[in-house]
Amino acid sequence: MTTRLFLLVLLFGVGGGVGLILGAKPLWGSTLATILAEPDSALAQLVWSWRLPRVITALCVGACLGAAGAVFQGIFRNPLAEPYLLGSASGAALGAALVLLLPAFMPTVFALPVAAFAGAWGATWLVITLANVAGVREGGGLLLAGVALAAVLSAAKNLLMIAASDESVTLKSVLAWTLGGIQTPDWSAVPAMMILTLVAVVGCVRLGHGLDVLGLGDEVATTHGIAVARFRALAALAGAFATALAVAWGGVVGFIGLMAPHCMRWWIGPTHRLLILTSALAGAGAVAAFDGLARYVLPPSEIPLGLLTALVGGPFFLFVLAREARR
Amino acid sequence: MIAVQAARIAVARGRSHLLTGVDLTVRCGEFLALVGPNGAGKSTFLRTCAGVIAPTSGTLELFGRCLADWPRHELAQAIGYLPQEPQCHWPFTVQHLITLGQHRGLGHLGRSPTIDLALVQQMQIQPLLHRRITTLSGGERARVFLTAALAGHPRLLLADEPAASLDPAQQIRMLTTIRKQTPQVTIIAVLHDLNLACRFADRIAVLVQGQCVYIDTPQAFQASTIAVSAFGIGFSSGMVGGHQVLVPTEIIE
Repeated sequence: MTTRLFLLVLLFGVGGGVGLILGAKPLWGSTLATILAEPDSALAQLVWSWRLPRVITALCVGACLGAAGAVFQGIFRNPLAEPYLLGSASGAALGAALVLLLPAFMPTVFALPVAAFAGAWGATWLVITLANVAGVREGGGLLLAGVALAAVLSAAKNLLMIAASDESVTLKSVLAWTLGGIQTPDWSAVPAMMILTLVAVVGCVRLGHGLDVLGLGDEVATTHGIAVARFRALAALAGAFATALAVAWGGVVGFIGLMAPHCMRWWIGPTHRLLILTSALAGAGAVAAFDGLARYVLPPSEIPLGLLTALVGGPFFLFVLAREARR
Repeated sequence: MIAVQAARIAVARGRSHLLTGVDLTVRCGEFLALVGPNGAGKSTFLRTCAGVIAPTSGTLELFGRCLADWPRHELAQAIGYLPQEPQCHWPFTVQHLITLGQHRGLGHLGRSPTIDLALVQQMQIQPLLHRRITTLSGGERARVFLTAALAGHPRLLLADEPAASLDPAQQIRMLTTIRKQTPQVTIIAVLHDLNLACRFADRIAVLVQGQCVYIDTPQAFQASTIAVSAFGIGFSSGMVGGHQVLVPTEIIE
């Protein structure tokens, strides 16, 4: 187990490293040597002020998505649940788009994360309520509700974009969100970003014991002293918070929240405390590497990150679906 | 001392009345078997005692304290609940499942990571500790979930058909193990097999249509005609290998 955790941290580092090296101009061979030799060169400055903050953002986005996916899977006792498929990510994107397109009403700096959080929480709450009313707390029905809700929310957001956009810049940034794309923040924003990610991941990890007990069924969880409905709402809140952070910094990136917990459950084990922590690490490494790839493949343009993760994640989802059906 | 004191407990869900007024007293340290036809409300009564569903009327006292007055975490420590078909949605190891049982009702600080080895030895599941739940046989699974319910030393064990879907040897083994927990643990178990109930329980309570219609020792139960009227079927009884047994005969319309 210790070896596996060590390997995981190594993979996390490798993911970050790949993100740092890959890009429109890959940093290998002589280029890397130059940068290391001359920290004051223009190229080194470029890496320092552009690529490094972007890689850190990618790591934060991935950590939030991995943790949120593990929490949602625990809440719904369904290995196919994740922020993208449940509609939480679309809710966050709708909230964020509202703020971006109507900046007159609220200052973006504060309003953006808050609106994204409100959207994510609202969408998650709606899916839980819908599933409860329809009596499908477990299984495929829940995901169908989530996918339908995601479609409605995306449509609402796209409609809003078309109706409200007059500056091309704003429209472009909204579009980047829809397809997923890591933003490059100013260095001054990086510490706050890292702290928020840490808060989200730790908050999710602390739910681990309750999620384990929830896996024994609602009745038994009640006899274990857990107020099931309240705990589920609290856990959904934590999941929505992590999702909102990821969407605010990286747009709607699908399937990371599905793949990371799934691989970790298989590799490390299903105990939620460890699962959430390792899923955050794995998600972070994966998003950083994918983001590097997105910048590297077709220079000078950049492939939207969400397309890349969907290309890998879609087939993975089908694979998991087939395995679940056989059980 | 009284473990469970139920007075006119009624439970309704929508228009259906699951319990219509159960009066029942369970003494501390005894093994009470709940028997009765399907749909009589046995599982509902057990769930009510476990605090999973709240009674619509009547009073329920556990160890002299009204159920509603129990703080959630204290109730969790006092009761071990074994449902009819225990679920485990994730492939936990046996060790983790038992640890979860041991941590019932405890806060972050009270949770010790070491497992109760004495209990594990008594249940004979040491070789299974590192196996995943999904890889166990039916009998092993039943023993593991019983261990999880008993972990953390509850005062009351509520078991819903602990012997169902087990082969005869596993049934006897399971009930012998449960029986051994008395008198430290009070036991209420729903049993469908009347002969198992007579062999292992101290007293037998009969539930019919949401009410407790009879409660007495196995000997008195066998001597009475309550089984015939409760189940609507005739019984022949006799001694086989030192055990008094009941064999169902013809259905009485």
